[in-house]
Amino acid sequence: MSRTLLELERVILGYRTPLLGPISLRVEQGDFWGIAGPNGAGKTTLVKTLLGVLPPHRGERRVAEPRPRFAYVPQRHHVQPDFPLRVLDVVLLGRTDRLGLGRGPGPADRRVAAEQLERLGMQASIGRPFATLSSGQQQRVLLARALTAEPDVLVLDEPTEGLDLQGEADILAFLRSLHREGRLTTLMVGHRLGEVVNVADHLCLVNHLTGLFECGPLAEMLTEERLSAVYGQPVEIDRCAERVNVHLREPGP
Amino acid sequence: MSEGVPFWENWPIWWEAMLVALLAGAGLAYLGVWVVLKRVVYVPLALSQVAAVGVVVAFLIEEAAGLTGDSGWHCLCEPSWIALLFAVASAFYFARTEAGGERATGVAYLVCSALVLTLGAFVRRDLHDISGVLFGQAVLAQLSQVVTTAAALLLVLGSHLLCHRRLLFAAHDPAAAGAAGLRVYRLEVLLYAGFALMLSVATRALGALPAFGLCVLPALAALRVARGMGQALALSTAFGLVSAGLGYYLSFAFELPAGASMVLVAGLLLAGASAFKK
Repeated sequence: MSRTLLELERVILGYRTPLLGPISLRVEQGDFWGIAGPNGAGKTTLVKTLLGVLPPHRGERRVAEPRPRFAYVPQRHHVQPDFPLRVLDVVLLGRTDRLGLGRGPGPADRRVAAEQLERLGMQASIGRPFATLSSGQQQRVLLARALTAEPDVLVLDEPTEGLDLQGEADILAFLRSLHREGRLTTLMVGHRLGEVVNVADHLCLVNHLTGLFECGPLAEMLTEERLSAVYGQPVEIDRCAERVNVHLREPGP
Repeated sequence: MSEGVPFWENWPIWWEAMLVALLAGAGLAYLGVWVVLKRVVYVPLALSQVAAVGVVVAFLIEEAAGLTGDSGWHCLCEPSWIALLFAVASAFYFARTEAGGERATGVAYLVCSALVLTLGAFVRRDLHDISGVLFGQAVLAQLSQVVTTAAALLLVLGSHLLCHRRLLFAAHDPAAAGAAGLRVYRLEVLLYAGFALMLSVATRALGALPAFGLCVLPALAALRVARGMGQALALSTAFGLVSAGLGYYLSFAFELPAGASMVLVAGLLLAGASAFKK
């Protein structure tokens, strides 16, 4: 039986002023949630509320006991770029909450970090300055940092933003295999709906401008009516083999 | 410039001031790395204005309550302590605003500057007294200032030694650190309280210009050449020590303004580091 790791109940979310809600959402162990909506729809606000970084205006956020370990991969430009940190230094930050006050990472922590870098094909860059890496490489390092925390819940905010097609495909394939093999509970915000629906098994559709919030299993959520309502434009869904393509409907002649 | 004053023969005159300069230089330059990396280089200026409000308030309380230097209550209103209290309390304000926010810093600087002038009008003493309390001069120092500066430095370095990795994670990526369960706001308060403490003590001992200069220039120089965070912190501290020590020596030996000499040495180190990087 699956365990509920995280639950929002009639939550109104937002920064200084309420943005969206009341919304309810339950994340079970092993779920892969995709969070989609147009730009500025409140997706990152929802993620920050789920993580507990942003307290809800009203309603309740419940977390399982013992508290699951969360790891967050933010949008890359939210990371301070000037720090003179090597790749290994950045990845080891993922172990911070496991270390006591005044203690640095030990051999076991370094081993876990090196393993995750190797999984992501970044082993050769372990000593390079983080700031000198390409966008795709930085994204992999931030993902390695999150996995080094050995999390129960992995949360990613637009992990393919700014990547080329190959980089995007690599990251999505890695996330899919991570979920299939390890049943890692994952929440992923995607600015492109097409990428989200091909990796997630549950979907949240968010648009605070229309007050719309719907969530559920992917099969139920993936209808042209729902997507058109969220994006405010007619959307078409094509299924080709195992792949789902989502695009705006061409205007008629 | 004079022909020079014998330096080593006069050590009883300068050793306390030199020690204060070295301790303050090391502490400010260490913290400067965080100031520069977090892109909050104007926070030190705002903090000095917050401390100025504290001095004016202390003078007002003294005068309103009729406290004198002979009264036992006088020590509770000691202007430099009240200034320090105000500066450290403002850490909560700067920590609350995202990355010390430029707007928040501007608001604090402007409002506090206006408050000093407005409240200062009700103080019977000259505004010159206020700057006397806030901005000492780096030429001479008392033993009590050596002790205060050393205590502030130990407190800052001790707390940073304990929380280094947490501070680093929270400064580099606050959202991920918060998601991992770290108390980001408390860590920010710790960082800004450290700035406030060290700056208040150093400004009182050295003056505003060297305190600000030693907070920014050695860190910039270190970050030009360092290849890791530990190296940047160590190099910046070393540059701070050299700037303060050599600057003081030059000012004593050649009768130059002490604070300005320290800042110029730090500036030369920055130029050297930039050239080395090229």
